[in-house]
Amino acid sequence: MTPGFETSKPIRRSAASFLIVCLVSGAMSCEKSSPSSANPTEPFDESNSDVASRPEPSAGAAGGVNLDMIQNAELNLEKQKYIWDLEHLVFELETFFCKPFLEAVVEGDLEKAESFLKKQIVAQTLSKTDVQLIRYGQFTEIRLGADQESVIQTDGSGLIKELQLGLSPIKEITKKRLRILHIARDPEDDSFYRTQCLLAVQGLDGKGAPIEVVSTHAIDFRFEDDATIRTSPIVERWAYENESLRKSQRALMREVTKEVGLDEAPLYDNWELPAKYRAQYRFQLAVEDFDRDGDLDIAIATTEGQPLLLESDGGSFFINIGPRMGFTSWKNDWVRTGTSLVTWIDYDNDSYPDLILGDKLYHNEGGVRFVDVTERSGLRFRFEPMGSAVADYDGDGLLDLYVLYQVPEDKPDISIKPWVGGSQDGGANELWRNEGNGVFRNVTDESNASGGLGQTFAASWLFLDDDHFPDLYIANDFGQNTLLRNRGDGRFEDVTDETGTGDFSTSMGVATGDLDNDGNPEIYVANMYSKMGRRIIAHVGADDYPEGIYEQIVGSCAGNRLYSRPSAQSQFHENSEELHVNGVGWAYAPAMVDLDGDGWLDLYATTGFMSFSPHKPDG
Amino acid sequence: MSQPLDREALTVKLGEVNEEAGEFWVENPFEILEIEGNLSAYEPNCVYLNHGGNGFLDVSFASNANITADSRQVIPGDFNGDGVPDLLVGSAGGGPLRLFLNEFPRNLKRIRVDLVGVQSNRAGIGSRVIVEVGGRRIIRDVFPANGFSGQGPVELIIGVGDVQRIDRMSIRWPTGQVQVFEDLPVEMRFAIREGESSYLTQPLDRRDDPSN
Repeated sequence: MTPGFETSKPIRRSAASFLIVCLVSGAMSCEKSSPSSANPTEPFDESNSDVASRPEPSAGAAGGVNLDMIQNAELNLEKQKYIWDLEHLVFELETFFCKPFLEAVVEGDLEKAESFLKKQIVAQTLSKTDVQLIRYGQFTEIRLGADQESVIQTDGSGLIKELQLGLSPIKEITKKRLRILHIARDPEDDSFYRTQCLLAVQGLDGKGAPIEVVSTHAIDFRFEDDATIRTSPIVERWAYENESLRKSQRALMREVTKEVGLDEAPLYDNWELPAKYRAQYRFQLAVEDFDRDGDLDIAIATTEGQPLLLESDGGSFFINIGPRMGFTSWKNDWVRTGTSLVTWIDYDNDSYPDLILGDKLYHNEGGVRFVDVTERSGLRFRFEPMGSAVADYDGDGLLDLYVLYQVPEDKPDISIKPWVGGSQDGGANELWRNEGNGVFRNVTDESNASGGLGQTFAASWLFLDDDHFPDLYIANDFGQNTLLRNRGDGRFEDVTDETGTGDFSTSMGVATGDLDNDGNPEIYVANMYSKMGRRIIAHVGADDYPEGIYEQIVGSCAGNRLYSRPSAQSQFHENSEELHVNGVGWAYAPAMVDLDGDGWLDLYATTGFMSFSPHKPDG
Repeated sequence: MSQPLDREALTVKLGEVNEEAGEFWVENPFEILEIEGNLSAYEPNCVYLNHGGNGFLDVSFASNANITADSRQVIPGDFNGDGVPDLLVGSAGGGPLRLFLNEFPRNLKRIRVDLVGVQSNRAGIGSRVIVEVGGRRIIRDVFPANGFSGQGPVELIIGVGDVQRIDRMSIRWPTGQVQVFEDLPVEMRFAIREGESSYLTQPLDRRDDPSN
């Protein structure tokens, strides 16, 4: 156990695109990689120091994976070293070329900008003959492509002028970056490097409206060593690949957090805490109009055991009425329950949504008060449910409850786990059937609804077919995801393989909905996108690993995935990259919502793991 | 034991690192948290606008909701009662709860459908609603969203585009029973009770409702 967590709960690991680093190089600078889970902590409570010791590594600890396969999975050392060296150069180039060069370009310091370019540089800019104009609502995008018949050859001075011209519609820059997406060393020439770089600049135009310019460039460098990068011209070739200018007539959303008092909600904020108390996730929340006054209210269960109910006053202000409602804190029972579950479920069809909060079920008495009915309900929760999904799976008119679990036991799981192999050492999810009269019964086994043991983070009901019985997609932190078809006879069957929706990766969220209005809902899965990981896997392939491993590595940094299919009979196909909705980041909850009212569901995707210092680099 | 087999195994350096360039090395990735190194840090949330079923446009830059706060949840819902969906974003840092109101132009029309199940569950969870307007179909299934660590409301707001009337709306209840309604106005909120042909209406935007 590491010193920083000595006063915390035992650490449990979760998803990580750091798999890339582990398998490919076993090395390199880590700031762009992605281990995961800090733990739910108990800020400022030093009494919670029941740190468990880790068992010694053993073959059995890896769960149901093929150990021989994994033990032979490391990349050969020569390739590891090559990738290490390239990643080292990425840091050198981004720090000592990308950043100062872009600064010089936007500041108009031509002399400094040109100092990075070799005198004989061969530069190629876009002729603006390959143009696509998209207007949609108040949004405009002009896409320029590289029509090879008519690109424009220029010199260093011409290149810098073209870069400045491209950015000239942005009158006030708020964000800018020039980053390396791919890098390779010329096999015939040790001092020659080919890269692909992303240039993205955001800000406001002359009218104060949002604007962004995004472009990619093929940039070739020549330098002998690290020192040369800082002291000499290094850019030998530069070719624009494409450029997009995006404009909106106005900002699309307006933040009102302070106006409505949500900034006063009694919740811990990682950024306000000492580093050792920071946690991967701090609370769950559930939104519903519990008192039927027309306003959406917010129920919250924190990992510290704090129940909140933020009642909305016409949407203009929120006030915590949790204490008045007498909800039981699970603070002192944290080790047993560890839960932060919160769910609205009108289990008795009286129109007032009832509330699961912590490990209790409360009956909503006409929106006025809540009564603890846990014991009678039969509902029991294991250690740390990750969430729940409500639906009437058997069509009997009563809402049922599907509860998600990451770990198998009523205690933190500290066993050793591998990065690869399709983990099946998580906890079984549970389906609780609403039997009527306020009683639930665990029907997981008889309905075959556990969805495996894949360390579930999220799940979403959807219609796979036209039988009006809801089916279920389950997003797992490690290994494959699961798609369960509801047969309509009280049982589920696993159709993951036949539908092609397994998505081996590190899934942490999912949203379903009909994005193309064809009656066949899409599945949008939140995974990890890593620029570093994608740079690295460009240098390895299936031949470098035992069978099946490479696919897993790719999935660990590919980003969000979108599964679509044209009919209920066909397989899903994955098209997130084609539709440019994969590059989110270390992603958590996604949502499908029609923001502009055009009848087409849009996407919102959350992301970001742990931010410690805005002044340190990150990927 | 190698890292592929053990996420906590240690791995040696294969070369030098340059701290001046922001580069650093830890023998196990989880050690990054101890040295307070950024891990997928300050990543902005994304907004992708569905381009009429022809792909997506990245409008994050114009959204004001592309916050960099280590976000975990997003709950769409009409929080201010104006009939359009807003976004409640939950985060681990950078402000745990933040509310973003929808400021898209109101030129496109919407309806809201409040289902009241009788034989089916009261909230109508598990219903499929199909709206037909201007020769196209808009299909919405009623399930409270569960993206990650959060549950959305049972609230069905359907954008219908630049039209003045709904040609047809069908509701398939969780029981399988189907009801059909024709020639409906837009910018209205409908309360539809399972099995009943009549329905209650009120303005979509609560501020337009004289009873308020």
